[in-house]
Amino acid sequence: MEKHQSQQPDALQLHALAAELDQLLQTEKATLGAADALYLQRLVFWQRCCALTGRLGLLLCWFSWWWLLPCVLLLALAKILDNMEIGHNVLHGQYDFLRHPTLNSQRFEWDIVCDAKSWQRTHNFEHHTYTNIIGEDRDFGYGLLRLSDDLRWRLQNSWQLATYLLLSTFFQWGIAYHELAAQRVFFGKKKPGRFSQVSDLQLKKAFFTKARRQLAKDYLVYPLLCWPVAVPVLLGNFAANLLRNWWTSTVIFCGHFTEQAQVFQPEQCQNESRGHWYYRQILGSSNFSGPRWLHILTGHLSCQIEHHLFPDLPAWRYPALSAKVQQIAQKYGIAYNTGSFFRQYLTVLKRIWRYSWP
Amino acid sequence: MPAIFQTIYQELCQTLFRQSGFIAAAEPFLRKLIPAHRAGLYRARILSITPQAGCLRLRLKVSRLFPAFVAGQHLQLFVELNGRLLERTFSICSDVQGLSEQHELELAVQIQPKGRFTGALPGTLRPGMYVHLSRPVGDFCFMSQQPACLIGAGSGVTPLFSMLSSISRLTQPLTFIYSFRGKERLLFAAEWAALQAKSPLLQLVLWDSARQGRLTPERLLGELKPDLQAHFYLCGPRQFTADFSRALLNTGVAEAAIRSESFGVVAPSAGETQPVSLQLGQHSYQLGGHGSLLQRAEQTGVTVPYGCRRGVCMQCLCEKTSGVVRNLLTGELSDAGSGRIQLCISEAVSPVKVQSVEISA
Repeated sequence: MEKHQSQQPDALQLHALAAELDQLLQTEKATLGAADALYLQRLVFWQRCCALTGRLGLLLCWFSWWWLLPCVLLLALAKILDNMEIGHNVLHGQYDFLRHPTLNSQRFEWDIVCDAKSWQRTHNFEHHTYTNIIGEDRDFGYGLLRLSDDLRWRLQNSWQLATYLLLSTFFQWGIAYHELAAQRVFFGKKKPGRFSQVSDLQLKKAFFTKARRQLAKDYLVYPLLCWPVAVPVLLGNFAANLLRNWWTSTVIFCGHFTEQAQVFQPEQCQNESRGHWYYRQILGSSNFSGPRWLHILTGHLSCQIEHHLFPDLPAWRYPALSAKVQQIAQKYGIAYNTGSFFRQYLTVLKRIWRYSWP
Repeated sequence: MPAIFQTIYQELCQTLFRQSGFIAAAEPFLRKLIPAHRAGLYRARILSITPQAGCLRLRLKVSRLFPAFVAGQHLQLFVELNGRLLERTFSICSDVQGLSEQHELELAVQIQPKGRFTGALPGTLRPGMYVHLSRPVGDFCFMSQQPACLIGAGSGVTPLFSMLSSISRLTQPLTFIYSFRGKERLLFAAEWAALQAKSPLLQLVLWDSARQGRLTPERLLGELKPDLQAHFYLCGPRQFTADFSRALLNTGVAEAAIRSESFGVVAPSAGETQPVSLQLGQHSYQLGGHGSLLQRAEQTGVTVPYGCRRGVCMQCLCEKTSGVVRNLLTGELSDAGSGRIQLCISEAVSPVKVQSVEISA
């Protein structure tokens, strides 16, 4: 476990590590171009096809209730593609170089209650800069789960497996509320010295605007447009959102909370070098293997290590890079954490269970 | 009332599609049917490409929906180069009748062989291909009621040529002075004689500076003696228009009677601190200090959004409208036109203009 960290590379080795990974990034960046544009264009097309057929299909449910099942699955697939492979990656700015008028990190808005700008502030900045640093990366356990001995045990941790399942079910609301929770917008005492670029008022406004639109879309406008079958359509939309929530939370938990994913202390990371940052990204993340369709459904977060090393590289390129990254990690004696999806997820559950107890 | 419908429509599109409009939402499907479709832009088919005087003259067929323009206006030309949609600003050089009657436009694109955009055009563009255009904009427009004097240098002649050829019948005397360097740099070489023959009131001066020497304000006033009561239209490199407007003002020409438009790339100069202007919403700031653009903004006391400060999180992404910046991570120089840059890893190497791209929900 993280107590037995392997020998940390010295400053010189870290410098060489940074140089090698930078070199890898530069070579890959030089090949960016038409292939990425085509990939994104096709992806968005198929995502829209899923959404459209799913929503139109729901209309036909009067014909047989069994119709609901494939249509809900299609709609869930559309939402998963929109959130993971398109939204997450576009909002990271991976495709900004294409200069697409809407598919860019500043304009894109996704099919989830979390406001894109708010997510960028907590995820792109906090999580990607301070990955797995205790007390600085609020994505580590989301302030609800205890996943390391560095956090004090409290009574509520003993039922944290149930908390996890609940968080998973309402995952989109968890993400939407994440920044507001950090700023103690509704509850709790303001933390002294916590800096925010946006006021509480702006946070609240963005939260309620996005939540209102999402709720209106799935539970009011679309059901009303399908009036005679409004209730099944509403339920279908609810089911699609639920499936998406479960899937995204499962994938994301496999990224940083597997048994082997290491944590860091703030003092280890003060004024850290680029090499140490890379080193921390590799140790704090974990991959899982699978066929191409699985990678796409996870938004290539199955290549979490590559994603954390090169967050602004188009994600569909990660699987091809992973062998080289693994080689480099091995050369510097840094553990490269990967395994099958099932095995990695099992270790996540084990970890949540293990730290439920003091 | 229409404003209310507009608001409802926009809110509905935001709610259902998270897009500004239905067309933008349907774009992935439209692009399957019409591959050249781009939401928010006008597509134009290339009819012919003629290299002339270091420029590419692009004759374009646009759709009926393309808005009318006033001679002298410019637009943005968008070309997809290796997947990237890049754009630059060019003046329309054809007449307004060509658009209204045949739905045709012409642009004269000056080729900079090392330019990232124009340098790639000769190898990319083919007749029959589609490019994209913004709507025409600009207030460098011709008023035909007064006697006028049009002075253009180099490719600055393009909007003036559009003005001249758009005049159906000249009722006031008009002086047209075009300075170019050498016969091989003469734009519209085949058209000048016909234009002169059409209007006896036109005094056309084709000034070959390779043969006659540089056209300076002194030589203009001394040798060409333009009517100082006329309205002046100047177009050329920044230095050219600045020199001429100063000289004209000094001879007593009213400020309102001088209109000018200039262009030009400022050569990157290393070492000294370059002026940077930053536009955030309504406010505009001149940045002092030194270091990255983000550091300079902060040293000036301007609050800009930022995150990681190491080029990862895209929080400080801004739209650069002009100027050259160096990427502090890679040492790479940007091109001089517009583009997105991250303030935290960009350093100005020429005068730079940036603006925020944050859009309120």
